[in-house]
Amino acid sequence: MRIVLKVAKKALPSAFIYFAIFLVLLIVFSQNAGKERETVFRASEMSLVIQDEDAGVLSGALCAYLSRDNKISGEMDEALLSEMLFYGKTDYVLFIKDGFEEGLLAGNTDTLLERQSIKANVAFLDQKIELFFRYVHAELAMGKSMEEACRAVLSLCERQAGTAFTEGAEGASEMAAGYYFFTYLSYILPCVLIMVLGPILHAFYKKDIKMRTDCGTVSARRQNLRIIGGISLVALLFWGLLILLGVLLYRKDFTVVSFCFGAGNSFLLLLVSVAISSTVGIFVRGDDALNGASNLISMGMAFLCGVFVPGELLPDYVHKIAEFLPVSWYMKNVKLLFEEGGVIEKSDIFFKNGAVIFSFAVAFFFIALASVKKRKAV
Amino acid sequence: MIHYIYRVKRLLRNRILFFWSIIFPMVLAAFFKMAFSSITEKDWAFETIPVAVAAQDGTEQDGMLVSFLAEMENEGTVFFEVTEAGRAEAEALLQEGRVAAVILTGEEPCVLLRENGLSATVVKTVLDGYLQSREIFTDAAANGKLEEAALTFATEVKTLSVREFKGASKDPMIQYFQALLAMASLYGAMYGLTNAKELNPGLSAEAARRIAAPVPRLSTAVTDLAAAFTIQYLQFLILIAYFLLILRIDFGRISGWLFLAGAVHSLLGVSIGYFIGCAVRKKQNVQQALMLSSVMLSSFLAGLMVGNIRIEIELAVPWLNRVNPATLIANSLHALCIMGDMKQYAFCMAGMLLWCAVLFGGSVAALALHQSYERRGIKGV
Amino acid sequence: MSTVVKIENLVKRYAELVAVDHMNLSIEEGEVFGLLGPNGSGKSTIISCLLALTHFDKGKITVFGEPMRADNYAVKSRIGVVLQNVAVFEELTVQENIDYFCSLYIKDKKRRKPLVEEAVAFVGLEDFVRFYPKKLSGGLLRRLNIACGIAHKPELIIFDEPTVAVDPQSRNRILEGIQELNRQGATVIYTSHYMEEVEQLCSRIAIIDKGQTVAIGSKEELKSMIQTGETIRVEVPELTEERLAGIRKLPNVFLAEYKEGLVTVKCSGGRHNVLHVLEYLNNAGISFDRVFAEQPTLNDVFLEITGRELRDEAK
Repeated sequence: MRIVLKVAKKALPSAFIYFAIFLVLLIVFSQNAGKERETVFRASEMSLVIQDEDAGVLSGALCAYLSRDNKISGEMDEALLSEMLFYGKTDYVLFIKDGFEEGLLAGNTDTLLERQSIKANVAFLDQKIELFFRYVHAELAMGKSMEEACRAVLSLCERQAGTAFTEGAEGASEMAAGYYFFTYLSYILPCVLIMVLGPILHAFYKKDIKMRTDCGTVSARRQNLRIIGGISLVALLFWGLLILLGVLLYRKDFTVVSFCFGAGNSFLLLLVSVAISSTVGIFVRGDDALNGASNLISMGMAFLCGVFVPGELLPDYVHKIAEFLPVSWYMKNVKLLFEEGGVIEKSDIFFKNGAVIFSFAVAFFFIALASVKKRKAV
Repeated sequence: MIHYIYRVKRLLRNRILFFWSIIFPMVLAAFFKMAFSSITEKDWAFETIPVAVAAQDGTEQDGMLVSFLAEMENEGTVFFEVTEAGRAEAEALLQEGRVAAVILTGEEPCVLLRENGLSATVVKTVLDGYLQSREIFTDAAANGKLEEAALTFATEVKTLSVREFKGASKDPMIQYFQALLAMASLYGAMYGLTNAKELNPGLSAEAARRIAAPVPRLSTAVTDLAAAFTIQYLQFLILIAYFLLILRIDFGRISGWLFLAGAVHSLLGVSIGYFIGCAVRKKQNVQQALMLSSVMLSSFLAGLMVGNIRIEIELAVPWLNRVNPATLIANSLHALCIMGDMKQYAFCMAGMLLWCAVLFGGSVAALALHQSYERRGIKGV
Repeated sequence: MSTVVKIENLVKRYAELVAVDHMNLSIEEGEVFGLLGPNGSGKSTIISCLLALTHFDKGKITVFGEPMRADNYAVKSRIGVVLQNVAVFEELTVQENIDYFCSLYIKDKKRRKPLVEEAVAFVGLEDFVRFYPKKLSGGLLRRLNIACGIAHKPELIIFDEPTVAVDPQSRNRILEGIQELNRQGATVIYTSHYMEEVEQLCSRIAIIDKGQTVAIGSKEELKSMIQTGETIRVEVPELTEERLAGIRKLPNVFLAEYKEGLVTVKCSGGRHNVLHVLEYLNNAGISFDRVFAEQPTLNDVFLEITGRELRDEAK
């Protein structure tokens, strides 16, 4: 057992770097996570940047008008702005040029007000802005000064349509931070376990060592049991640490029951990861090759099973491929966990998915065992 | 020349190096391509929203609202696909998810929703506009200015003009491939590591034999570097060709500058490995593990796993983007191919060359330091 | 005959460990010079210094009459190296490996070609030229290792433990090869901790311990340096202390021990020593079984000078 831990220790520095990746993922995405479940209407907040050179009454009113439902950021560097647009941090940029207000009064606003966006679905904002100017024009036509007109329009905009939700509606559109914890767990678990457990298996099933241990006084069965015990210990330690981290960071996102479901789900993933690691560890030789296999398998599964990219966005054929990967079943359960009443009400689905994950684990375990046997026969 | 040819031959035949610098990026790129092929369209497209309009209990259907909704359009595409229905029927449609919202017309029109989201927001925004316009007419009528107001509303004035995005691509998924190319370039470190190992007699027997031969060490080092660089650059070309011709990724504007960038990327990758090989006095597999995981971390920070991490870092810790090698590589590609921002490109290139200089300088210093420790008999080196 | 290698007052330290301690050596042209010493005695360090692979703290090394420096390429080109660890490239075939290492010394491809073929033939790897090193057995790998070091026909060849972990057949082949190279005119420096090999191969031997030369000379000279001329061992089931003292009084005997049914008697030169011992036992009515008589070995030399066995694996 001590030897197993010793071999495992060698992989610690690499494992630590991947753990760092996991932490950064959590930190970045916990910020983006939704705070609470909603049962009332909340507008999808668009992220706007307004570059206001005019800084007049009218542009001020426009900002106020848009800020009612959207997040407005102040001016920023042009290059950064392009980046913000490209990466989708900003949905919509409004450039208000100097002299815009006079232009509007003179009836010529040609290029004095420009907007930039790379998303087509922000067209309703264009409509909203055009509407604002119609209101202003109408108020001006009624003989008001610019200031009065703007004030009138802003108070007019307090007039809002009522909203109601149908019964059984799901108000939440963003996932709680705990969701990201369990999601990224499905990348980090297989990744690190293959890297840490691989060398252990490899060490023990190397031909010469295998022969030596076979010659020893310990029976093959006991020998295998010892290795399995050692591996389980390492895997459990790692999993336990991660779960502990989850408890510490995301207590508030879970009820005790839902956390237990989540932990149980991740335990099944742990089993699969251990089984995959065993298979890989027996087949793949050398630390660097193992590192490669680990990255390829964990990243491949993560991308195909909607870990890094939301599953709904993946094309259908990818979904079909993902059916053959355990992580996609794990992710189905994670989603259930964060839907309102999901796990409790749909516990039968949860357990069904769990059973699929478990059978993946059993299948990989048998592959590992078979390959050990085959090795022996050679 | 013969040394160079043998060196190239050797590095090419090493399967592990081959896997990391070409197979792994290729397979990962294929995964990316599969995962991202339909994302942009699904996420950002302007889509017609199905809505149902039903009269509130005891009122008539608001014909004006229905035609107002049906006429709204953006560049030829209508905003809404309107279904007129009875209230019960409309609610059933909503429950089944066949419409995004139900607009209940009447004295106080309101929106019936199943969930929050962009479609809900659009429906609500438009209905707000309808209500506000109605109110403004009521106001005008009360003030006896109905005519003026109606006139301004009837005149079609376009205040807002569109400024085109100057980037060559609007597809943010391209950044995954930039990060991937960065990762592949950094795996050139494998070659650097091999070079370091085979040039320091303390690290391998092969090095001892090479150093014992009558060839200046510097000349061997330069030959090795040239060979490593050649292969890494070749792999850059293969990957670019693979992206453009096989995966058919829209990589943005392709110009000669891209190939210069590739050269600097390759050099940077090799120099990182060389530095680790010279400065980290540990067993080779330890060096390798350290290198592989550092490359992974660096690439992760450049957006290999999570797309917009580069901009998140830009906003939170901008200096990290200026120093992280993978980000410098990815940003040089981004600036060049997508944004056409030559200033930014030059900045990234300078950053990378600086890294190369620091790393090679550091390697030489590490070797000299090690030798002087050895000379002075200091333990632990 | 001229001096090929001259080492004067060489000192090399690693941390607190003095690996080479004021070493002096002189190796003449045409010699097979052996450096014999236990593991860790400093043999490989001397070789490293000699090849200018490491810096040393003090002293002077002259090779072919010129000071040895890392950038003295004229001297380096006349040296061939076969190091302890196999130094070949996994990714190159047998032929390519030899050609590559030869190319470090000889740029001209046309000149190199026959040399490579000759080296292949010399180590008997003709059937394996297209093989990658991974496919070669340990012995064949060692032979390849040698071929890489000697293909350019160096005048001075340094073998650093070339037979470690090699099967007897390959070992003999390697030793014969070294003798052949010497016959062809090469000066050879051979380091080993196998005294039999050194004894068989070397015309002059330096015995090294703890970084110092403890003795130097031909094997006959070395053996004559010590008191032991002959070691006699007799299997005796029982022997009293009194009788043992009797044996000690025999002519030429300077040491007699009795341990586990075996009497070990060491004699300094002279003739008929075995006869004297057996006569004594016979006269005393002591029965005995087998009798062994040995000429001194280098191990005896080492033992007598350092008080330790050569195979103690001093570290």
